[in-house]
Amino acid sequence: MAEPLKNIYNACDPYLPASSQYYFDCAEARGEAAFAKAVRSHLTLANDHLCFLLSGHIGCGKSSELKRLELALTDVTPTEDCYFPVLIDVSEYLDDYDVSVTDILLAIVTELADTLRSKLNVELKDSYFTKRLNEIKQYFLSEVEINEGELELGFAKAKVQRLKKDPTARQKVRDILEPKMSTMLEEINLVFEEARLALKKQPQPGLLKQPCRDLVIILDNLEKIRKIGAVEEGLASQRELFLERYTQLTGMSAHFIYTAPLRLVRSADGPQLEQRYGPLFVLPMIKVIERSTRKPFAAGVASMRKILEKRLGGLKLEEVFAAEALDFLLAHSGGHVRNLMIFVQNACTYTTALPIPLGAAQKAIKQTVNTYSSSIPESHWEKLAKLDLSADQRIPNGDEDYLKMLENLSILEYINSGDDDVFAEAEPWYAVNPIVRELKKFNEERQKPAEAKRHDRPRRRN
Amino acid sequence: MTDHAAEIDPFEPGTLDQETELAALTHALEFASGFSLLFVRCNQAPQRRRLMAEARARLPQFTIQEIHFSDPVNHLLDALRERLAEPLPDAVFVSGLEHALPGLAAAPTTPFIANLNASRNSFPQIVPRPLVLWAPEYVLTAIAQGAPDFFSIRSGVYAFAAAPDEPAEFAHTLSAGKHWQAYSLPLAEKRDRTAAIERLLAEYETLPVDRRDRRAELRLLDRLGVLLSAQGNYAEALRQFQRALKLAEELGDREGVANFLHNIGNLHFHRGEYDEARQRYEQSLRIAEELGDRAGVASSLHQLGILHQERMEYGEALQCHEQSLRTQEELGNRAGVASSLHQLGKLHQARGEYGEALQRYEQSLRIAEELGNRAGVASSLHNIGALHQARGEYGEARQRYEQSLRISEELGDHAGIANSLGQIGKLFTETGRYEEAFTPLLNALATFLQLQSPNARVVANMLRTLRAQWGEQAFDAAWRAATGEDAPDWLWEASGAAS
Repeated sequence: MAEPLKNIYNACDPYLPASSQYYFDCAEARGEAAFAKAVRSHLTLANDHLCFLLSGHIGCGKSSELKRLELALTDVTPTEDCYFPVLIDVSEYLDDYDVSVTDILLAIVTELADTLRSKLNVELKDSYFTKRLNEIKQYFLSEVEINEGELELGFAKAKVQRLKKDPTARQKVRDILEPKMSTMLEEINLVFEEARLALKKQPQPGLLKQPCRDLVIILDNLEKIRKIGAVEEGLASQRELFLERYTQLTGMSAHFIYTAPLRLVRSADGPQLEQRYGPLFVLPMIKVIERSTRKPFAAGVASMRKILEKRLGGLKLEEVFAAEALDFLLAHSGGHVRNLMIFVQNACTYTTALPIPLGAAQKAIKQTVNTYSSSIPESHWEKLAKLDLSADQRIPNGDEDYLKMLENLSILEYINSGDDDVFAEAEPWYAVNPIVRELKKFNEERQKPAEAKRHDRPRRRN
Repeated sequence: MTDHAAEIDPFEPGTLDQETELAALTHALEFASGFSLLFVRCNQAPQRRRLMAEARARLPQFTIQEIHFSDPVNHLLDALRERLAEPLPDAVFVSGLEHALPGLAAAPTTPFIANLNASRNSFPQIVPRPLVLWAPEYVLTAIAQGAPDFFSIRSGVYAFAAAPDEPAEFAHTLSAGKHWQAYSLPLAEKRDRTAAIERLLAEYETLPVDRRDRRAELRLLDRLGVLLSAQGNYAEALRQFQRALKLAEELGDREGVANFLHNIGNLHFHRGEYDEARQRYEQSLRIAEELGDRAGVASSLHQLGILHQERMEYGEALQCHEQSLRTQEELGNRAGVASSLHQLGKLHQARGEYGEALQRYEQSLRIAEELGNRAGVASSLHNIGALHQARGEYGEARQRYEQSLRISEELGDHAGIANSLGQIGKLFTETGRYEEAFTPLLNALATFLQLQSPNARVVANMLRTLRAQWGEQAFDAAWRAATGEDAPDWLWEASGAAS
């Protein structure tokens, strides 16, 4: 019996984004058009290069959607345009707590060259950027490597990544590159031109179905950046990168997709971001409850079930979960996929046999209950209760506490969908995490405002 | 043992029983292929060592590398990279992270937290094995708050009952009083409330003299002292009760004075300062008699009875307990009745009147069960075990100790755990199973030393007996294997009468 449990446990690893084997498109249930489809239609219509932002909660499925997009851009019908994706996990290059824009630019160029080489056997011949690279290579190459001669762009990836671990070398590289920022951007654009040309010369049999129209550079995990230069850590640094340095992020001649922190997107600076970048996508939770009534939202619950079913190694949901256990886990996931995966992993460890009983599901949830009850700051309870009691389930613009709650998942963002009014704009709304809603402190706080209101009444008459 | 036993309330913060959590942790280790991040919440070093040993015992086919940091570690991944064994073990247990985090408030700015979050994506390559971080509650909270990305890739958080709550004996004696609920609060809540009260007090103190509410301050000091002692912070609790005592005297609040004297007596009693304790109880008793406060009289007599018993003054002890029992019965205070019966049981046992003793313990056990007083149940079971042991009924005895141990573990009652472990060790020594006796005794000693409990001496005596019977060589080798050093000399110095 341990074998299927073990398989399910590993298939639900919260660390890994969904592979194509596990991916399930839940756009409808999330309340947004499918991300990949939307990106594609923007690309088709655009005359100029676009710069998308993608945001959403930690673990909401951003990386899974980006992986999906990567596939979708080349997997096309003969009438559709093909785009060449370069998916960069910036965590491989950047130290989140010490980042400069030049670090990001270096990551972009080396990953592009590496992808072209490994996927299409294309070697970039560019001389300008190669020259830059050779000016700085002494800081991240060993003596032996330096003596091997010129460092080629296509082979620089692993070496440039060494800078992540070496703050001193990183600083020296920046000292050289930063004064040359504007020329560096031009040089990068030249690299893009060369890459595009190489793509037009395709296809080679078996590599791409048809020539690619353009490059789409995708930077995943950029939202995790905590500190830029001397700017204060956290939101201030994220603001600095996405708003103050936007000319650099948007100044390159290729299509770009950056992941941006939800806390910034929903802050008072949100509208500015939309002005400066192209389309902004926020990946909401899968909507498992209706706004205001909190009744289960059937399409959303069904998607969550599908997502799970894909990971059961051919077993049926009923074989793996007792019905009430599954309902319990789904209801308390709040439509957050990574949470659901963690719940399922935990539930697997609290049982010795399938189907997983309700008791095991409850024990699994208890772990998260403990975490929330000890880590939610005292000052948040009142605002959590206020949101929960509000009729429109929205948060005040730019309220720091609510932004913090978005970040630590005590409130979850949803997009309207499936309601009767089909013409309604897709607008975000927020719900208190269903686990937080069950906590005693929350419920005590939730009782309070009603009393306070009663006290208020006589005063208003004056 | 039945599997469908207790229903749980998933939304009540707290821990599951140790067996459930250990089994789940073991499953998680068996299931994981490659990297998986597991947390174990465990506040105390001896408990952690015991649980680690238990987890190993359940996975005999597993190689587990234990990495303990005794200095602050700023970059966990780098530190692990340097220490990982070759070939890689099947799982890695890490402890000692608390040294990197002096407190919760400063946590987000520590390099430890920043590096943890920043390096999260490199863990799977460097440690392609289940990685178990054993840490106290506040460290987990700091990681969840300060390194949310790292925390979000966890596969599980297994929790074992928290921090030094009250020793069973103390909780039991106090259960007659009005404060016993404070002892059953979860640790986080105790801390929350302590902080809230401290804030309020500080605000009162900044008010101009004519606007201060001394009564309110007195109430707050009382609550604060109770909460602090419920967290095992006896020194600070003593300070607050002494402040309260002074204030009550200034206000002419006689009832308050009696109450604080009693509480101060309890703290001295708990630290083994019996003379001081007796003095306070007697002062408190006199005032309660003057005021005609029968409940107050009963609880003073109860404590005095225990003190007489400690000095083997059985006649006086019996008198105190019987009087206290009568009063509690008249007042209808069931918890108090159970406490008195328990003490009478101990008294009869000390005089070798085993039948009488067993009867009292069983009466007390029944009441504790009815009241849902788990600490009381554990305490009664423990003593029933000791009774069987004294009669040479070792199987029965062991069974009771283990029942008691399980409850103490559920409650996070470290003194209770150590009491049971000590008795189990003694039992193994008496039956010639020396090797099995060693670990429980060592853990009991470590816990009592940490709690600054006079029981440490008792356990030291047990260890001396074990060494004498097992042989010095075997004992000293076991000590070195367990602690990495030689047994300290003070252990062999004759340490008085405690047996």
